Amino acid sequence: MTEFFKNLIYAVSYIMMMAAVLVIAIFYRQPLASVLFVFLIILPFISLYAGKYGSNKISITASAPAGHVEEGDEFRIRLHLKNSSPVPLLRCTLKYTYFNSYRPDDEDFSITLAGESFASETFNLSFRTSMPGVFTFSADTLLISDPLHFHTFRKKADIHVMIPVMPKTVEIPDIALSRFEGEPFDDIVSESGELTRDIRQLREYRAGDRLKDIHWKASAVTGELVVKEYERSVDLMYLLLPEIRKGAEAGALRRYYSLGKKMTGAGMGFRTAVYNPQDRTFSYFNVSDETGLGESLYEIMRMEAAEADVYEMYRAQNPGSYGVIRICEESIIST
Amino acid sequence: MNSKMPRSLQTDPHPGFMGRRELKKRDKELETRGVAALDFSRDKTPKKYVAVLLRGLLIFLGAYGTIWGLASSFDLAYNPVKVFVWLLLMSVFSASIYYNRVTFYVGYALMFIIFFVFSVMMYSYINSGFQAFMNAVNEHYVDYFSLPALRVSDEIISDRSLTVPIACIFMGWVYCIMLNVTISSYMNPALTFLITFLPLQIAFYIDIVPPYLCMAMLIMCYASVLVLSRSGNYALPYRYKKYETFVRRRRKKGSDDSYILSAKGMISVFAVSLILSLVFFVVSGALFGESYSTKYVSNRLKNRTDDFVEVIVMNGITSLFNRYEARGGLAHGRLGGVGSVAPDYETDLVITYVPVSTDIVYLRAFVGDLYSVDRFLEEKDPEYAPIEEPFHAEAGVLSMEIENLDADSEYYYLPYHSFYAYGDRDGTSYVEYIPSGLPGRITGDDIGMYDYTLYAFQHYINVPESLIPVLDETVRKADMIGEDRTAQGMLYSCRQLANYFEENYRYSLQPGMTPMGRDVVGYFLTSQDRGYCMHYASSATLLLRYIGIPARYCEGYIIKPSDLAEGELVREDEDGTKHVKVEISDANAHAWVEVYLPGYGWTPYEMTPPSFDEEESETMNGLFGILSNLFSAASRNSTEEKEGSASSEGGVAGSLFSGIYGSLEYLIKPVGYSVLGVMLIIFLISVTRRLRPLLHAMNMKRKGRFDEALLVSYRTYTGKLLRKKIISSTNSDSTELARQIDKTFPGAGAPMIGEIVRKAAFSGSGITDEEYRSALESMNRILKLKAGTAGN
Repeated sequence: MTEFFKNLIYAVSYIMMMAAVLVIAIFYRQPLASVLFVFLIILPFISLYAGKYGSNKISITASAPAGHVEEGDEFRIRLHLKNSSPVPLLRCTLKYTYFNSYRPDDEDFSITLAGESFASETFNLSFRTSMPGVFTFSADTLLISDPLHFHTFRKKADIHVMIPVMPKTVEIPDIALSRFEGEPFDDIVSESGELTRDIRQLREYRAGDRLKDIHWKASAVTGELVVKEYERSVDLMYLLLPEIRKGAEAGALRRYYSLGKKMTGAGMGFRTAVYNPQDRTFSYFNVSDETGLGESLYEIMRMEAAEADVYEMYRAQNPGSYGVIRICEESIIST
Repeated sequence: MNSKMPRSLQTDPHPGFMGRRELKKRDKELETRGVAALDFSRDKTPKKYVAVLLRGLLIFLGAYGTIWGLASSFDLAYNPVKVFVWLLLMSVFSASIYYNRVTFYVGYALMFIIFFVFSVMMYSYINSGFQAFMNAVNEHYVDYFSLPALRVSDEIISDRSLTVPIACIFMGWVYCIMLNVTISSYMNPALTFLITFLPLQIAFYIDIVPPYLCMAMLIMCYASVLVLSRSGNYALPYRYKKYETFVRRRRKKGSDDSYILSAKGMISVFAVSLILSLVFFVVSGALFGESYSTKYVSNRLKNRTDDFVEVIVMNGITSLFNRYEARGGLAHGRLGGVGSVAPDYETDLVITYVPVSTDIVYLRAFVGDLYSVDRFLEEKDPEYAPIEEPFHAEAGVLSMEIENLDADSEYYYLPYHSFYAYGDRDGTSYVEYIPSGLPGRITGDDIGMYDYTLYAFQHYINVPESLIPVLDETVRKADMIGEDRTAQGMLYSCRQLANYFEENYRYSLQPGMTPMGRDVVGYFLTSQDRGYCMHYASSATLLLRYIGIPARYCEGYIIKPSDLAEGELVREDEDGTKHVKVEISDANAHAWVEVYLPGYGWTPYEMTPPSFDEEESETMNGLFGILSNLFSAASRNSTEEKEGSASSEGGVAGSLFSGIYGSLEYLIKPVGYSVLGVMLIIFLISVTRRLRPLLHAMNMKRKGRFDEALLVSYRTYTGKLLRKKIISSTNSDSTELARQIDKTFPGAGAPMIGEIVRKAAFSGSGITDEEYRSALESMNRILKLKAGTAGN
């Protein structure tokens, strides 16, 4: 039922009450009842004014746990409702949605809170996850009703929270991982391995650095010479391809995360090809430690799950590449 | 672990918190959506005992306010302190029952045991106190209605200082139990209002106003319950077993969670309600207390209900059940049980006849002979049929054609004095008759008349023995015994009685019912003091019989002079005789007494006094009639209604406006003053909001702080431009605003104003008097310009 109809029901019931008091006042020709009737006339105006005033003085914000949460964890979104007006018990309804990035839907939820006068209250909404992805909580509108519920004032809430939900680790059998063979990412070659075009970091210029590695734009901003340090291909012997298919996301993510942890734990860096189903392109991320693994995972989870066969897409776009490690829902295939 | 148990139930740290169904839903949600909402909570746990105490206070306000109002209204000494303390304790105890599930079951069982024991042990006191209350109510009602009789209930224990407080505590306790349901369980304002306000109608009905402070208590209770119910923050966990502070309602898609208990919020609402009720107390008591008391203004609807209330007061509630609907027409001698008569005004008879005078023409149908408690019975197989009865006649024979459209088809409708009738009773019938012409001599069969006179004096003078005291007293009061037993003497008695009725009784189509078991004539003569033709005719019949005059009760129709005036001339004979057709409705149905005058025969005599409220009956039908009667002014005391109606031409209802105003003055004045008050407050707020910046700017200017003065004026200036929609927001930078204004008013100096304002706000060195003046002048000039006008 919309807020309008709720308000209408309350207004009609109030009008009926007024009519009853008016009949009593007229039936008895009674000044006391007529004073009561006058009160009933004035009250809605006071209520509406109080509602309007209160709605201007109410604010709502949200806070979420920092970082990420683990799949299966419980966590809380904390809503902070502040009413700096003296109007008591303002009925505040927050319309919100929450979903996992792999299961977006149009379900809408609401939570009705009490805006207590001159108070700032914190309400905790607890959630539990059952699959990895990006948990999203968003609320645009806060509806505030006047004390007698005749009118609902709308206020922009502007709450948008995204929390990555990391997958659980699963047991990864010892398998022989194939090395990637394909077109080199860069033509720069050095003794310690093939340099790629992927920038690992920016650092100050040291004697012996190549001129072509100077980052001129950053140098101009900082006023000192800054050079680009590239990833070396020695860390990029493996290319992982997580195949995040619609309806079968969790297994692939768990396997990717578990394998990634195992590899980084063993000091083995790798590259991850992340498929974007919207523009059908792949982007690459270098992972050499757990932080990089988390970042790559976040990038994967931000993308929608694919309808098509991801490996086939990769093969079509990179016909000369071999040794891709496919990470599927049920298995890891080292090609 | 049970494998059939839902997964969440197996792993949930608080499995008792949510039911299996809820947990299954959560599992499904986790499976399909990958995420599910668990319980919601609040950082500060609401204090349940505070909520319980506040509910207890609300219950107390309702219960004590009602008991106090009733006891004070009827001047009962009820020991306020003792009742106050007891009711406070009971209210808090009742509310605390809802603290949790254990207290609920144990508390209710305990309370009912104590209640039962208290009721049994104190039965005599409670009963006597209640009877004392009823007696006090009766006394006030009898005084109010000026009733002759007072019903007194027996008080087993006569010491009211003992019985009344105990009865008040008992009644208060019952109220606590009921209000505990409406407040603690449902927080229902309508039920709370009905339970507490309805009993006070006993006092309101007879213009007794309970103490204003007691009313203020009730108002506080109503306002708190109303706001709490609308806010949704009043529930105790018992109502929502599964939830602590939030309740979840699932929808097909999504769900709604509501926070359900705010003890602190309840205190705030309580405080606001207290302020409201105090304002009510002050306004009611101080402003509208006595000055607008309109003691003698009532309405016809209330006067009508007064009739029923009077009957109840005098004879108890059972007296209401002896009634039947009277829709006009013949009643076949049935007398009691008619609360009001509501004719349908449809034509019953169409009569074509030759009018010989403008007197009322009586068309007799039913003739009542024997009287029982509530009706006249028709004589079975009379010795003389109605058309065989001898009569005095000196005029010629006339004929009357009667077409029966909607009247009772059991009878012929016979004018006086008919001697021959034929035709269809339910169609068109014809009657030959000789109109009576008093005074005169017997010209008919003298011998037949003599025999019949003996017959009449033997058969039509019986009265019930039980009524003799009443009849005797009325005869004495009416002084209706004539000097002799001639026709003139009898007519004297009739005249005296008619005068007595006119002076001491009044005509009403809504006389109220005769109580069950009471004699109709006895009740009418002693208590009712108003009635319609049936009451007067039946009473007159018995009174005349009592003094030895043969009399009968008749029902039929009358043709009034006004009907004749509206009649249609059907034809005119050569000798000038005019035949007129008149239509008469059930409103013309009538009852009258006919007396036997020796030498003249049966003669109708009109005992019914003139009517003052006949128009009223036309407006009594349907909702419109009820509303019309609700708004029409009448005397508050129904016995003064006649006077009020008679003087209404120059009084309350002199004109439509003054009539309505006079009738609703008590309402219009408070409403008018309140509206004026609200308008005054709005006006003052508006003026203050305009004046405050002006005064502030002037003050700053006087102190030489031109920068602050300019900023105050600038705020007003941008506010006005915003209202004119020349700028989109007042929050932008002054340069940006100047640019927007300059677009609408090019060359009016907006950029210059922006610069000076910027300087005043940020430079720290302030601005000069000259800069202030030039900026102010430009602002004033811009405000006077119309959009699109160049400032140059």
